[in-house]
Amino acid sequence: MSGLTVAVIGGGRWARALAGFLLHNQRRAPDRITKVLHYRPPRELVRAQEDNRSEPDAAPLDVAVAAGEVPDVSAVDSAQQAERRQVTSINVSELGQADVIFLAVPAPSVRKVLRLAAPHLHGAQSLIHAIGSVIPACEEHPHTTLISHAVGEETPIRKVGGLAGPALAPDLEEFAPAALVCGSRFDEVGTQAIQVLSGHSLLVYTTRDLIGVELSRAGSSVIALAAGVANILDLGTPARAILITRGAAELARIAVKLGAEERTFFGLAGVGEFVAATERRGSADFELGRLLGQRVPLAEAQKQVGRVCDGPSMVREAHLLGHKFHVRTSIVSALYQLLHGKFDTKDALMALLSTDIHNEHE
Amino acid sequence: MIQSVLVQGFQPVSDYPLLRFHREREGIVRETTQRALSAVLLESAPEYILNDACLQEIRRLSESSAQEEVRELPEWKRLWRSLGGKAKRELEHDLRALIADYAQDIAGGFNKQVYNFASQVVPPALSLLLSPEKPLKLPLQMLQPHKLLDSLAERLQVQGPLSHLRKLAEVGTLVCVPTHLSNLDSPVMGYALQAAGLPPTTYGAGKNLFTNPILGFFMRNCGAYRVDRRIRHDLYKDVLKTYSQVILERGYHSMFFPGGTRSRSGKVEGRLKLGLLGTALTATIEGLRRDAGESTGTRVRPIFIVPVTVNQQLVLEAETLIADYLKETGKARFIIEDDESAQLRRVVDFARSMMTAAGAIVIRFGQPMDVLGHSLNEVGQSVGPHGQLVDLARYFWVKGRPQALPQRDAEYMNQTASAIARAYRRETVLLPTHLLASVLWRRIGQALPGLDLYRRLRQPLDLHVSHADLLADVARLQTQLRNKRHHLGPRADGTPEQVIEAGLAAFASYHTEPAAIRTPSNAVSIGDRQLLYYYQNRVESLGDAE
Repeated sequence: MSGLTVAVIGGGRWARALAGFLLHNQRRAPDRITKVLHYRPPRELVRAQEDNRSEPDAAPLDVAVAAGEVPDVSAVDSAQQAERRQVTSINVSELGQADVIFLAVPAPSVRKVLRLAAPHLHGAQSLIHAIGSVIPACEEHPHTTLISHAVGEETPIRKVGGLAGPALAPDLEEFAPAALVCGSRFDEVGTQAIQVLSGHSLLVYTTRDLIGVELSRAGSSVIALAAGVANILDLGTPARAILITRGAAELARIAVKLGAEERTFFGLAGVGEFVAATERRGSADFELGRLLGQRVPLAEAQKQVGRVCDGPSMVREAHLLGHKFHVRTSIVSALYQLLHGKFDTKDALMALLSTDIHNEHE
Repeated sequence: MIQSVLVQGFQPVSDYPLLRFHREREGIVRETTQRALSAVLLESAPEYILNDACLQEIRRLSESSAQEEVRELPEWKRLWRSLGGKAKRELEHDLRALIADYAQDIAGGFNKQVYNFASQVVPPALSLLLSPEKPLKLPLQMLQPHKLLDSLAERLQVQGPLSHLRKLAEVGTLVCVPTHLSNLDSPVMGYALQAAGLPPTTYGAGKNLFTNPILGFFMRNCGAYRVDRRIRHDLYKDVLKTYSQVILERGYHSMFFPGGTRSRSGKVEGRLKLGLLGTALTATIEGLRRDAGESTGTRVRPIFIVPVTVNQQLVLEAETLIADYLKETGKARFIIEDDESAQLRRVVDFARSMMTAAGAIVIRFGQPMDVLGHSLNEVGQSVGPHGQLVDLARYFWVKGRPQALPQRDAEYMNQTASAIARAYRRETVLLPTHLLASVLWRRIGQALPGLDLYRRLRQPLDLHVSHADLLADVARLQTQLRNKRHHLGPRADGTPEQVIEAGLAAFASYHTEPAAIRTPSNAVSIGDRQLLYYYQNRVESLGDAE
């Protein structure tokens, strides 16, 4: 095995957690990772999405590393400094050095960031994204676009992968046991993901169902939102279990029409991630759901959460796609009504958990 | 950049790779044999490979009559019985001999005189034979052969970025990948290449087409190689692919029909076969490896893929193909030997109707791409999404060196196949029969609501569509298609009146039962619904998602 140079693109919490985790892996197994690079896209590219967030604009890796447990070094302070010395903040033009690039930027800025980076990227590289969203249709691109497709449309990179699974940013920061699935049509990409990501606290699985991985991760924000609503109304664990499993079934029906495999939704990338995303800890969309459940208007609720919430736009996309493919969507539709103020919380709740389908496999 | 030419007098390319084929033929067969042998031996042992080939051939030949076989049934039986007692060296010897026989059987030929004869004498002769004019006028026309060509030219249009393609043919090797509707597609493509000032290509043709002594003679000498689609075992397919790769590496322009067989439904191909097409990729990798000093051999010129749509107003074998498609899907025959193209009378009828129905065939070359689907600049360099140059070799890097990697390369090929399928949709040219069939088929759907395809085809129905309704339908369809930037061919781009006129005339001119007929009251009544369905499928398939 020869060591890989890894780059992380993004300035948000996920990107920092990922970069910190990779650094940690590099220290443990320098034969696997030669170098960890970190590229923060210019603020103006991502500002539109992050402007109203209260998240502090921390230095690249402080947060990620500070919380990390570093097993083989006694003095935590010196370990932090050692790690900070090894992180290399780079300009966009240096991205060409990387063998594997992780992309973690807000979905609406994906195309802009990729366009900026494209002249420096090349066909030998792999790009693995960790973005829980699809790109909504816009004037220039009239169809809903998967992140992986956008990479193909904007850059010369062909070897694309996506990450999903029960691993939230705090899990990576704290080295809590977690798992990720890397979906890619190229087996090489999965092998690279295992090489650089798997470590003592993180399990990495692979699948060729890239579309399924991307869509189940995008779907997890929908489920988290619904679970937030259910949580504030104190419905208990069975309600959460229903939302997760029936939500997975509903999202899978839509995703299959886009080329995904159904079973991905019932594995780590789907139900696995949904379980983690519907806990209080970590998920921004879960918090948003709780606020909506307390009748806080959407805009105000987003301000209060202060982090990127993909839920509302994903609910909208899922609703439109369900309509387009004639797929029944009870949970998604109820959320859609709720987000548009057409339901009172009680009604929405009833709708979330009511159904006229009684065959589980329909 | 798109040029459209009417086929007129030829400006043939004077120098092209096939001219040296007869000198290289034996070397190609040898190289194919050697490389196929080493490749299959990497995967398996000779006894297993021979065992599989023998058993499959014994079964096939026991069930069907032999026809120009490389080995007869008794030989296969003898070989199979002897396998058990042979040493490894003897087995390898047997395997090499079998591969060499296959390579010899596949390899085509090219004879400049025969080719020139075919390309210069046949078209005017064809025009003459098929002239719609009164026989009395013929002697006059014989004195002016160019007039005959003019009349053929009106029926056959060639479109596309032709000057770009001509430049690319000088610096690299072209792989033309046309859509496939009819057995006439390969001669028509040969004709179109010449009209476009592009070099002739070698191409694989079904072995059944070689059985006709005259056709076989021309095909053998005009660059076709033989593909025996009845042989199902892997060894034969490996030899065939190796042959294709070797000739691509040696710079012979090639043509594959990636649909694998003629489209049964009339739809534009959406799913492509990757077998032979994949050899464009393997040959490219071999070339990059030679450039990087990883492999030895002469330099391989870059390989460019050119999607082409062959658009026909009428399809010779339409009736047989659609009937076959509508039989329980899945049981459709892959090889049809007894269709209209095997009946001289039908071919002559067809050609005659071609001559009377203007704009009968449009061949449209699409934008060329590299083997990974990138666009190409004027000098044949690969270009990325925003116009930047990309280094093709890097896509094949393993630790900084180009290398074949089966899973990766298969996925690259999937992506290229999707790019070709998208190009087919973009570059399809619709003709009056397609538009007319499309609007009439919709009317049938309205008249028989809620029925499935089979009932819509068979439920008794006496449907007349008034002239005014039909005009409105056609105008609406034209607008829809134009909005989606689909190409409307000659007359299909005219007034709705012209579309209906041309479509009805074409339908009346050839098929056994016309697909639609004009009634005395100037309405149009539905005829052969299977044919309507077949021709409208061309339009319908453009809207299909990938």
